Amino acid sequence: MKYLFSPFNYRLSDPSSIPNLTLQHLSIVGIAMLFSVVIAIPIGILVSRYRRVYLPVITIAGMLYSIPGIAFVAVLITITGLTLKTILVPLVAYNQLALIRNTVASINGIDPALVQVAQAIGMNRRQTVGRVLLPLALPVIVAGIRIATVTTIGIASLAGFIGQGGLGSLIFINITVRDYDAILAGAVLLAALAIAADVLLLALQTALNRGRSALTVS
Amino acid sequence: MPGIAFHSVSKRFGGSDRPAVEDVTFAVPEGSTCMLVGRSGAGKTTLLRMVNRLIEPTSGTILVSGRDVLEEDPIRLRRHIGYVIQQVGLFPHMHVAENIRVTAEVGGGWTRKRLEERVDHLLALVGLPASEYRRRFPRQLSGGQQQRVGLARALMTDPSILLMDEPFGALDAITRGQMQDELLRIQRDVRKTILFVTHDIDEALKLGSQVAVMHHGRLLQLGAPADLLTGPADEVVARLVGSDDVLRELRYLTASCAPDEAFPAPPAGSQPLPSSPADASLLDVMLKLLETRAPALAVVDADGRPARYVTLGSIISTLQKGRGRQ
Repeated sequence: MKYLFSPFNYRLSDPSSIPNLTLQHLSIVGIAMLFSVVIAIPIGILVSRYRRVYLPVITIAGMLYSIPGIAFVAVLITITGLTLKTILVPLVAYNQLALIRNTVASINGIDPALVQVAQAIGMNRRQTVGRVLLPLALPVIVAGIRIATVTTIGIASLAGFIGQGGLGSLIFINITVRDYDAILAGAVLLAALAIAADVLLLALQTALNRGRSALTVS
Repeated sequence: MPGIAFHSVSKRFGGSDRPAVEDVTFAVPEGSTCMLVGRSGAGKTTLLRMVNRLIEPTSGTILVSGRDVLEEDPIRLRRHIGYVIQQVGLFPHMHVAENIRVTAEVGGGWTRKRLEERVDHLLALVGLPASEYRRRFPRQLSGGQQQRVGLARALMTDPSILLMDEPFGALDAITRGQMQDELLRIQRDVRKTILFVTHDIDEALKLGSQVAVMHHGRLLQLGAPADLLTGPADEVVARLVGSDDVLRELRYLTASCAPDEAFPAPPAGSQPLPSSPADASLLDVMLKLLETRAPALAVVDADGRPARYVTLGSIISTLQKGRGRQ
């Protein structure tokens, strides 16, 4: 654990220092999550409206999810080369399954009687969405984002494999030089990041879930 | 002017061969409670939902406070009509105070202070101390308490009309009885025009100033509870109200239903006769007669003067009057 605690590895001027790699890792995860959510949530809303497309959409998302990470990246190298795109595409693709599924579940889980009450007490469309549908759906959507974020933090280590930095580079670069202490540091930091993200998003999810049973937190 | 008036209202849903509601005409006088009773599929809820345009009638007109609902903006219309359904109707992510004030908030025009005062007033009205219940969430309340909040929510904007769709249907028998008593108490204060859907005939007879019996989308009979019991329009109504159920008749027929017995005023100095107001049930009258072993009971007017007399014999003949139809 010497690597992890040596102040030498925390110099901000060094692009491969621990703080810089962590920041780089987080920005890859952040960009990937942003694209994932922007794609998956509209798809989820559409799928919940048109039930017939649910099975095909979920099947495709499931197929994407089943591609091994290394293979996905390897194939993409032949198309997009050693660029950031090569790691972002698989990350966004993997996230679709959890995000679409939770978005659909969040909308289908809303009791239709509540929508009718909203209408009956004179809510207009905007009020129904803002005061009833969104607050009810959000905790389940955030639960999906939480699962996706934690997996993305792990898989984003493949960025190191194609020279795009992040905490994964601590592992991939040091495998060749057999610096096991540095590899361990990379693994510990990745795990810590994943746990921290999980705890933070769980707190957000719980806060959004106000008034409802803790059992619905998944 | 009636609170709610239906003029040959019909509703036919697409894909159904018979109308859900067919040519229904009746009026609910302002400040009175009209119970819509019938089996499931009789068209009660459809008729109720046409009042606030959750469902649009196929033909006919509905007037609310004299105005044709089809000419009103549905959202504005709904903001002026209270609506209570079974306990599922509370928003689970809002605490009690939020659930109640939301009906006023969607319409706008309330100051924060007025909202809070109104919520506290309504919580007191429905028997939930504000200090204790304001910040509770629906899942922290019992079924009966949730329904009280539902009623408070419907009353928030002080609408003149309340639509209630089987509000007590999911409650246990004891709680249901308590809520019915509460509604009667609250209605004495607020005097709303209430249209109340139920399939429970006892609930209809207990709460209604009028009872409208529906069957297969048609209105079979409209009348006061006593009229339905003593003069059911046909077999279906008779079966539904169970006009051969002696206990039910005793419970819902009032002292004023019994024929006046020519009873000589008791001689001065003798034991005074027991007395009851005209709206006491025949059951109460009968029990009083049996307990006191008096030959007759005086039905007193508003000033407490005996207006007429009821004997056990006149009670029996009242019950037989209803039976004659069978």
